[in-house]
Amino acid sequence: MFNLSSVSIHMKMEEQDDKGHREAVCPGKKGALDLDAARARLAETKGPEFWRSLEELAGSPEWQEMMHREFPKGASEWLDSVSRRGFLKLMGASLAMAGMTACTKQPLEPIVPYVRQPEELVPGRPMFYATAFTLGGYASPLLVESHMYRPTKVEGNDKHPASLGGTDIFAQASILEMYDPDRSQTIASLGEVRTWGNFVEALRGPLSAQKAVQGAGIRILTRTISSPTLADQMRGLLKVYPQAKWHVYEPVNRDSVLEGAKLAFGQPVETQYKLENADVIVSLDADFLSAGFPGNVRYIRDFAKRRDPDSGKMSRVYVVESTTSATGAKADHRLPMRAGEIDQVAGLLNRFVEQGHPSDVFSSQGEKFAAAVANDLSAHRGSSVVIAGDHQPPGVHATVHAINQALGNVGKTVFYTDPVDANPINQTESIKDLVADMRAGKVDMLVIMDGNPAYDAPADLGFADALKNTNIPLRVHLGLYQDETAELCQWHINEAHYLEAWGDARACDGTVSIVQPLIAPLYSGKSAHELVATLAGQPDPSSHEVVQNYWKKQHSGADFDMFWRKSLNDGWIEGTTFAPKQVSLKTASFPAPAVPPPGSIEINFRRDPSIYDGRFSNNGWLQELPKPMSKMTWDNPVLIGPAMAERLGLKSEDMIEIELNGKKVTAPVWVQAGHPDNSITVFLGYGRRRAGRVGTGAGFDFYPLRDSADPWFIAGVTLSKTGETYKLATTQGYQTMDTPVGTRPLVRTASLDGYHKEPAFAREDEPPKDLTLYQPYPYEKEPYAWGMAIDLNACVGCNNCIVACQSENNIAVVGKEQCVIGRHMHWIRVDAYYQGDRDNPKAYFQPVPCMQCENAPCEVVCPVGATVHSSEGLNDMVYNRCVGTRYCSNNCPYKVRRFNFLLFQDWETPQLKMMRNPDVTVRSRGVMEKCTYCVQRISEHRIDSEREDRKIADGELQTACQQSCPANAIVFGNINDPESRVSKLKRNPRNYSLLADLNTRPRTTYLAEIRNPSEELES
Amino acid sequence: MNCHSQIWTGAPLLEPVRESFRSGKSLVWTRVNDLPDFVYFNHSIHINKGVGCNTCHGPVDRMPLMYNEYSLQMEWCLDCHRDPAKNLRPRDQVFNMRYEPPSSLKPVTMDGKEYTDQMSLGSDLVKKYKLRTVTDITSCSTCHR
Amino acid sequence: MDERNESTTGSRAPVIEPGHTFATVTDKISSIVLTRPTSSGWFVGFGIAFLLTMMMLYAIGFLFVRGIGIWGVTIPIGWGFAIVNFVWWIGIGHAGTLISAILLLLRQSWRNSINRFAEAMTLFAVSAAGIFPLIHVGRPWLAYWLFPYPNSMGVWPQFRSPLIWDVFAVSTYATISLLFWFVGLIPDLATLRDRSTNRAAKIIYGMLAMGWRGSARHWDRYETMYLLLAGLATPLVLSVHTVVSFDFAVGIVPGWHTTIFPPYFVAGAIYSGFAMVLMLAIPIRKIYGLEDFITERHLQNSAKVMLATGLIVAYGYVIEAFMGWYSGNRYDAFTMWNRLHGPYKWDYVALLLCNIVIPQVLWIKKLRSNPLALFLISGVVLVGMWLERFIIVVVSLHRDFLTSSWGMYYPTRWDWMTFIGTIGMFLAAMFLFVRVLPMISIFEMRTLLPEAEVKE
Repeated sequence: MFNLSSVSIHMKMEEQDDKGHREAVCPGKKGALDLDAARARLAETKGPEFWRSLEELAGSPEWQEMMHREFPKGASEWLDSVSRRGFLKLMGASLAMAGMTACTKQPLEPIVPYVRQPEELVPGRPMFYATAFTLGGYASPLLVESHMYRPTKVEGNDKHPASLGGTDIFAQASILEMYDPDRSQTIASLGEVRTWGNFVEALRGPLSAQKAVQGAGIRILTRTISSPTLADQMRGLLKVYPQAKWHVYEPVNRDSVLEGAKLAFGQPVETQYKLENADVIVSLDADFLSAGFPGNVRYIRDFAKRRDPDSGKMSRVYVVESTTSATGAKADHRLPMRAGEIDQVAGLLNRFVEQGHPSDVFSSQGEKFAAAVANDLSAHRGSSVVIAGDHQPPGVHATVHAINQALGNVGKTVFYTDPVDANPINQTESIKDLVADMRAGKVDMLVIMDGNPAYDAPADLGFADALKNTNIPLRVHLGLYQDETAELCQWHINEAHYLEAWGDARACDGTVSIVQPLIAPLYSGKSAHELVATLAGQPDPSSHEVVQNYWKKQHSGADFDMFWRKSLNDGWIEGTTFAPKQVSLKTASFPAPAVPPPGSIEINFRRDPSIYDGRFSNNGWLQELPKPMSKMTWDNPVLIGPAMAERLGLKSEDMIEIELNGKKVTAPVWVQAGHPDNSITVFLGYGRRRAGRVGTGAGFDFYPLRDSADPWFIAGVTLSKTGETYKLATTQGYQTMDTPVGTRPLVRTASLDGYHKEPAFAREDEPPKDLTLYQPYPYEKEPYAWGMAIDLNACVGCNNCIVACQSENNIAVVGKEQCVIGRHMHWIRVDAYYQGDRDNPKAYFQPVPCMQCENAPCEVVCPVGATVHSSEGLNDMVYNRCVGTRYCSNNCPYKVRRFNFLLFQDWETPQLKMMRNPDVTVRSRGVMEKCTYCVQRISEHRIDSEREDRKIADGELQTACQQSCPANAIVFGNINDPESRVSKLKRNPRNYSLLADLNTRPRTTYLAEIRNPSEELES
Repeated sequence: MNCHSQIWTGAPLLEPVRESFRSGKSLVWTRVNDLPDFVYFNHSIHINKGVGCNTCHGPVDRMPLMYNEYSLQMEWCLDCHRDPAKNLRPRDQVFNMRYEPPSSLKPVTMDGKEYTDQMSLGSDLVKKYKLRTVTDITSCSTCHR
Repeated sequence: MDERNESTTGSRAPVIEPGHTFATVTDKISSIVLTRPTSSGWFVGFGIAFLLTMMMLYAIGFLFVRGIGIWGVTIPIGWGFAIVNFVWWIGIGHAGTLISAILLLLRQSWRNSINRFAEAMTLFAVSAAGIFPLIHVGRPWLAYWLFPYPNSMGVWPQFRSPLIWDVFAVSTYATISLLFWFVGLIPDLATLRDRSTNRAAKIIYGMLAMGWRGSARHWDRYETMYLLLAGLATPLVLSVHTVVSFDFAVGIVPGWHTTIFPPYFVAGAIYSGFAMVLMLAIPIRKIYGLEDFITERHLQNSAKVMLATGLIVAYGYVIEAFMGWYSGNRYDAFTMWNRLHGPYKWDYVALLLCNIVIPQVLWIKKLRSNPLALFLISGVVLVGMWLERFIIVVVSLHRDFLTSSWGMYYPTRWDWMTFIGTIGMFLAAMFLFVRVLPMISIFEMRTLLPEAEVKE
């Protein structure tokens, strides 16, 4: 079992031998001599003596140090404003450097071995621990890779039904969050550094005072909590202080889902879907394939499984949506529609499913669509599913429940269970009450646990103002960052990250996972468990005890240790999965809500695809992650449809002023193909004031427009052009395959029927193998020939591969300015292409890693042989040989090579050094880099297999992108083994290689995309 | 402290080691055989394929003070990777610091066969230990990632 | 050019105005260096050029500190100004070698008055060009890895790469040009040594003259040597820019991957080279009153060379466009479309104007013999040739195969500083040259005099 005592972070820090900061060139160490210092030392001496001291200096270790640094200190920190002095100083250095770096010997490296080495540790070999990441209360079960007790990479728990090995971008990026140097590092009181002891001291008085009044003045505000332990602790606390209140609020909450369930069944239920049983999937504004949607990882897996055109029973997907989403992009039929009108479609659908459509004259497009969908649904009773989006009003959810009941889907594709949320209350109401109490002066002690209401609470409540001006005697904030809320509390407790503390949480199916720390708290942070226990009067509790004790209560019996170890090892606790629940509809008729006037413009508030509700806004990986549809990074422009943009004379990057009953926000526009007319979409979570050096100031804050009454959409905004423009950073400027001289066959598609008629439609004859000046290498004779097949039909554009790759391969974040000029560093990108009617186009995703061409154009042009082929067909990139001519990138037809134009990597921050994957070189300035099929993993497995005198088994070795892909769209393996999965896929008639006519012979090939449209709507 | 809890338990030379063991504070050693950070070297596979300790580290057992026997420069590594046969020895000899390559005076026997010169032994070991081809082990990604 | 033994057929304007004797020629040329006071104009001009050079050094220094990122280059446009300027300067250099070597072998004696500073121009242009390949790499301090030398890594350069061919082509070219220029200088250096009154000057010229006494044997050796070098230099005129063109032709990028590049690059090189010669010759002959030596005839001939090479270049453009259509290759076709209609279309239009349309006026004799007009046209051509390289490098790269990876290129102030800086450096070198060395070959000019006619 995991043993905290051996994880003294202090020890790791002094662990000089750690390869956490491998560098393409000799590393610079801390405390290196600066040129000023050198000059100062020389200044004192003159004449012949000068020379002697120069030698001394040159002999001194610091000097050696400095010469071994490739770049003088601070060369990287430089901003564009050039200080002349600094400039000359550095210039002098780098000129000196020019002569000296390459040909010098290694600097002396001290090594500090363990005094008592833990048995399970083999230095240089990673270990994996099961834990879970929690978002919105829902746990994603994980396996976390640990090098010398430093967590370095997050993987999905392949044994866990909710993951099956997949993850979502937030879980992948959480590793960076843990090492974020901007995280709050101390307990603070009114900005003064304090200790936990001080805090406990400060609590004593108020708590005893509250005892007297049964805690009438205590309010505790948490985020959605699914942790059985924490819920139990809270209830315990409420027993001690019966009058105290527990409030829950998250800006991205599921209130309308809850209310919908209440409306339909009279009780809160969790709805789960079995998409692998669904022949017809209908989404009413539900982006169920997007990260952040409960259970999305499992849903993507099942969805992709049923989209396989070779399976014989490919599902059909209808999506009605109020903005553009990956789910809409994968739909066979998509109907863009204002959010406010979708409940009508739901109503129609309900009616037509009951009675069918009377005639074949349709009053509206929506009606035609609904009729067709209804017919398809009726034809697949029991094997269809209708899903409503979280931000649709309760009525829609209730209606959808009714439809699913009517179709007999319940128990087949739709299941109801107890809610995962341990305290399923209407969160908007809850925070309303809280603010009311605050204003009424009923609150003496407010504990905000892990939330940022001052930033993200509904605007009309004025939470921040209430917190500031209703002088509550004791305000405590527990959080990872000293954020907008911490600013307004006397006490800020720096929270322990989930990778630093014990805990537990429920996955979407109710299964409990133990959250197991991978490392001792970097800044001795405290977890919610510890805070609550302290409030309950427990003397210095440890989260480990708290959680273990709770489960001791649950699992009485002698074999607790076994049970505990097994739960930790598996990553979940046996028998905690929720059993399906029998619920019956109370009523089938629901009040149709008011219809917005057709002319008025509707505004949609959505969680951001990359930074969620703003809690991840200081996460560079996520900030720089292109949003699925627009490929936007670092910003949240207002999405607006092409037709509407034309009407209002708006172009992308124009600034507009959005006015909604008196409140105004100014933000840039992005014209998004396929966005519904008379409607705009804004993403929440940007415009933070106190996020950290990454997130502060990025994007625009739309929370001020968001009221508790209509948290998700409301009609009646007015837009006015301000005349200014604003530069936006997209990673893909051109999102079409059409050029004035013809369409390029990059993504190849066909309808299911077309595919059956002509299976090899995507095939393209490659030029003959000998059509090259150079002798082709006999790869077929090698034991391994690595190849990859990417199924475009399965890919849902979730971006997971990008973050996974970034984490696995130490890929740098470059910042907005660099992204604007196209210098982002992602080794794998997901291109999004639109085709056809711009107001409702077909959209396709295409992940593009290095193609590992057998006839690689990059290799012949590299003057120093820094990129050459390995015998197994890999296009090796040797960073430390690269001189940076960039010729290879020019000559790469796929443009998958990335160049370190500046010193993009952070070589100073110790936390980030600890995060790095020690098996991958950290690239230096002026060096080309690119995807290597995770060659470090290949080597590791090859060495292991050779030691055991066997071959690498198929599936044993996975690339990072493949491993994290929830859709199984990426398959990597040995193409010399005809039985490997990748070989089978490459034999599939849909298989084609990109730009095959160039005779590059890419090892990465694609499986063409197949859509399954219904005749009824096609006609 | 593994061995020295048994032998030379009182040796003054080892006082720092004992001190470190008592205090729990690590000894700081200077790395003698050090590779650049962009070179990835795996001991296990070399031992597994029959590369002796002193082939790379030199006669460590006869070094009063540890020193760097070979340059460990790329050409030096490649010299072996381009022709491993000339350095291989039977696995059971890998840790033998006094091992001498076969000669007519001191032949080496393996699997009952007697070898009197390194090349014949080496080439047999290449087959026996299933060494990858020279093109394989001289591919850049063998050492650089 | 059929300009053979024109010195006998005195039909055309003479290559040297009548009334000159050995003595006057020597006087006129050497006095510029030795006796004439340095004009304030020279100081101003040199001062400006020098400041520009300093600006270049500043830009390069900052480049070394911060990295290539301070330039506009990005993915997909991995090469920007640096390579554009490199090709442009190398091209300009060509005129010198052509004039001194090929015209020598073709016995184009009219070349004698312009070959000296044409060669100097070549030398300076090549050094200006030479800067760029070095500084444009990501890690300049490792650029020496491009040279094949025995090393402890046990690896060699990758000889299939055109950049390696460049290394050899350009370095050879620089060496030969230098030798050629210096050897040609020796007799005149001796003259200066003998005529200069200043002791220091005597010593310096003396050392450079390498003990030249003008004995028959000296002349004999000299002639052989000079001829040999001419022989060596001649193929270089063609080879260097051919190899440079391979940088692109070998690439897979649409707009690069064509076989017409070598001839069309060489023609372009000579085109811009002569333009530069004229831009230098015209003011110099005016300022230093050398109209007798650099006569209308020289201008005429240079203009004709420009016209001819310009037409070859035009042919290159036409063929490129034709192949874009004829190949039926969707990428080549688009590249052509993109040049005409894409975001950089105005550069392409300007290119056609500068390189094809405007120079056609050279058909008119009056303009050919009008120094001012020639000066302006030459300027236009130089701009045009720079644009051509910009179109080839940047506009081909910015939209290649995958539409998803298209991008735009915006040069930064550092790009401009470096570019303009090299022009400054070139001019500064030119200023020094005309000041301290005979810009016209004295002894070769004397051979043009009637007295020099040898009658058997």
